[in-house]
This record gives sequence, structure tokens and C-alpha cells, in this order.
Amino acid sequence: MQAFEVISAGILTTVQDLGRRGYRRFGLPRSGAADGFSLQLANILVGNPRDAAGLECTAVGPTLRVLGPALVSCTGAFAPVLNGSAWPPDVSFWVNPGDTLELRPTGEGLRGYLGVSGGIDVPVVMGSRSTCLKAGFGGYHGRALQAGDVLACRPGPGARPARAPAGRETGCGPLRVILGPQDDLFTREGLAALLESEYRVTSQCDRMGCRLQGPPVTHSGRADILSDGVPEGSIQVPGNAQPIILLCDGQPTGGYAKPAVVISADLGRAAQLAPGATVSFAQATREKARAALLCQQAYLDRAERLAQAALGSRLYQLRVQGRAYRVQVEELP
Amino acid sequence: MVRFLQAGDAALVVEYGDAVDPELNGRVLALYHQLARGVVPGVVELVPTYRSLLVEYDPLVTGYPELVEMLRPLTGVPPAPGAGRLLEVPVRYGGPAGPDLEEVAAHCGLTPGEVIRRHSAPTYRVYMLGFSPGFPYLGGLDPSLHVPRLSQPRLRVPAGSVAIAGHQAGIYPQTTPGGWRIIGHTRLVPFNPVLDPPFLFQAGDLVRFVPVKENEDAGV
Repeated sequence: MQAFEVISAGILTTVQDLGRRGYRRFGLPRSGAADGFSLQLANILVGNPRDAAGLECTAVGPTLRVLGPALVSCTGAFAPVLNGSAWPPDVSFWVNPGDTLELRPTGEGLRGYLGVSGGIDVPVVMGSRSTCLKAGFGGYHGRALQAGDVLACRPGPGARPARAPAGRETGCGPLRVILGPQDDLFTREGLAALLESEYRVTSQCDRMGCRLQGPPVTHSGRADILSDGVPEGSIQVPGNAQPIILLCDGQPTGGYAKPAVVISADLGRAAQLAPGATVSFAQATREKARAALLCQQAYLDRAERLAQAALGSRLYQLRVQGRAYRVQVEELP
Repeated sequence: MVRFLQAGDAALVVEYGDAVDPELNGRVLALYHQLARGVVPGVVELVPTYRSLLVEYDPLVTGYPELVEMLRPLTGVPPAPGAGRLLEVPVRYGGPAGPDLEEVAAHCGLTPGEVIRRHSAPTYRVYMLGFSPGFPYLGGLDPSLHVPRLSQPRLRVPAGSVAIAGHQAGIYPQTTPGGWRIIGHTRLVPFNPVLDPPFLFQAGDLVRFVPVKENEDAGV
């Protein structure tokens, strides 16, 4: 079913789900949403499975002409504008053929996500609908969207408009890291700089990684190591002593020493770092990392329950003193 | 001496050493093959390298201490002898297919023909895949062919380029930027996402380069 025609594509808008699993051993990055938390929330709001394909936009969002009715949501650092009227982020609402939907940055990060009921319909390649920009496959013809592209949607799940629950872990504070695997290759001063200073995000910031600038994270010996596995969220430090956070398109192996790795619960926030922003790091324990991840999962579970509850609700349109109101009535358990 | 290193809350490194060595890499791959059978719950990705295995896991299913305890007894398993497949890679050397052949020959004090002979003589080992999807890091290059990388990397290395740098040899699966010296080209495709399996090489494979004549079809 046709869903959207791209009027303008923005800077880098791609089809992404949660990425490919099991191929990093062959040198293939995960791909998928850089901020997986926001894509999951966008999917939950439109009644999709959390790993359905949506759109990820970067810095400047796309403008889309709606071709078929759909329930949509916008999460991350963007908010939707429907036919010129601003909508809040983190809610879902209906769009109809002829509507113009634009995604605008909120200034609170770098990336936004559009969830669409049913999910964006592109072929599954190697177990995922995500776009692998490096090897040019998956997603929409293996590339970022361009003006004139027409996107299709899979049949929707029959969801109702929903909103994200309150009480979300907000995206502030230092990124939490666990030291290792090569913290022993750095000086005490270098590690202290990493954990106690502010770093500025440079313009060299893409889906592969995010280069930072700040006090040197000095190596005790040479910077290069014999190539080693690189998990997502790794902070690698080349010879110039300036850290790079590796994101979802980062290569699975690399030859720079890594003093620390960002915890899973903060990967989405790392992916929202925009050029010019500042970031700092704080050491965490495995226990804290697990608690943070459980907390994030609990939030998504709550959002999913709320969206499902909306299914048992009814929508009325009321007119009071000439003004139209949409009223949602739901049965309480 | 095997070391376990924490790599964030969702990965650990099993480090066997710090050298490019077939025996050491064989031990890495022996552990990799055991885990690749899917015996350990919660393990989601495995990345074998020259000298270590990255084990990525779902931290809500398993954890670092449990995994270390489970993996430690498996690290002693010796590599299966002769486990790697032998793959022959046809190469068109020199000319537009291998723009750096002449310079490599000059650098090594050899004729281009001798560079071809020495490059296609050994049986290489795929130590690991990386850099770009499907790129094989090959060990076993003749020491007389060790040349430094280009001081100015190319912005565009064509897919299929057969290249060398330092003690390593490789094949570029995609057209990407790259700093290795290109001495030839193969029409074999190391990665095609619509094929099953999509990747031509896997760690532990053995590779031989077979020169093809100018007017022969290099496609096999």
C-alpha cells in the first residue's frame, strides 16, 4: 500500500529497523536505528512490533506527501508538522491522502524517527529492512531517500492514537561508560581527562561514529593495537588522543585502543549527539548499567500497555461553542 | 594465557595474545566455532579477530561473570586441524586492474612478473573479516612484498581490487576509500547480500591467487 511520496528528503533520511544480527563476524555493521530506543517508542505508538521499519532522519527532516491513510508518530529529536500545524512529538495521530507531513528538529538532538502503522515496506535483506549505507543494500534501494521516492507501508495493525507515558528517563547527565577493554593502555591522567572533562562534538559525526574534541586521553604507549573486536558504543582513541564514539554503522573490528564503552542504555543518547554539543562521561558498574537498561525496558513496556489500552477506547468529536474537540474515552480496568 | 576483558555491559573480549600467528588465530577460531553453534544462551554476536574473540550478549539474559565461567573451560579446546576451506581467487594483475603493480615492483626491487609470481605462490590464511563487509584480512604474504600503505589513501578503490599493505593482503568487496596498494583485480564478489551465503570468505579459510591472462575470463 502506497504511503508517502518524498517531497524533500532532508539531509540523511533512511529506512531503518533495529538492524541485522549475526553478521558482524563478516565485517558487516549492525545498521538499523542509531537511536534504537526512539525507533522502538515510535513503533509502539502506532501499534507496531518494536522492530518494525520506520524512517530515521538527521539534522534536517523530510517533507512527505501522504498517499494513503496511516497512523504515524514522531520521536527522538524531531517533531511533526501536519499541513502546517505543529504536533507534539511522542504521540501518534492519523494522516490522510493529500496531507503534507514534515519532520522538524526540536534542537534536542540529531536524529528523529517516524513510525508508521504497519511499518515501511521494503524487502527484508539478510533478516532486516535496515539500510546499510556502507555496502549499499537494504532499506530503500540501499540508499538514503531522495525527492520523488514513493514509500509503501505494510498493512496496519488497527491501532488507535496513543501518547508516550510520562516518567521517561530524560536524556541529560553524562554518558555512562564501563572501563575497558584497553583502559590499561592509557595514562592515569588520560583516563581522568575522559571521565572528568567536557568534550565538544565535532562536525565529523555520522552513523559510523562521533568524533569529539577536548582534553587529550593520552596513551601510555602507542595508540595502535593489533586489530580487535569493537562493540557499538566503544570509545576509541587514535594517536591524536581525541576520542571517537562508535555507533551503529561502525566497523566490527579496529586497531585503536579503547579505554571505555558506553553502556547499552545510553547508546541512543550517544546517537543524538549533534555537532557543537558537549558531552561528558561517567564511570558506571555492570549493575548500574543493567538497572538503567531494565528501567528503559520498563518504560517501553508501559508505553506498549498504554497504546494497547487505547485500542479499547473510543474517539468522539465534540463541538462546543463552535470549536471542535477530539475526546478519547477509555474503559478503566 | 587467555585474558577476559570487559567491553561495556553487553560484550566481552577473550584475548589469546597480541600477535599475527596462525596457531593463535586457530585457537580463537576453535572457540568461535564452538560458540557459533549457539550453545551459550544470550550470546548475540561473535567477532573473531587475529588474536581475540569479541562475544556480544544480551545483558538482560546473561552477564559477564556467568559468561566468563561458561567460556573458560571452552578456551582450552585445540583447533581442528585442516578445518579451513581452500578457495582459489583468479586475479588479473597490473594494467588498469592493478595500478600500483609497477610501483610495488620498483619498491621491492623486483620485476612486475616476479611480484605476480611471489603474490600468487603462497597459500594465505583468512585471519578475520573487517574494514568493510566481507573484506578478508589475509596473512602469509611473502616478506619481500611488504610495502607501506599509500601516504595519500585513494578516495575510490574499485570493488574486487586485490591489494597489499605491510604484511597483509586483501580484496576490496565494495568500492570504498582505501590506502592499500592495488596490484590486481578479481571478478569474484566477496559479498553479495542477495546470495545465500552472502559472504565468500570466512575466518579460517585458505586462499590462493591464480593469475589470469589478459584475454582470459577472470570470472571463473
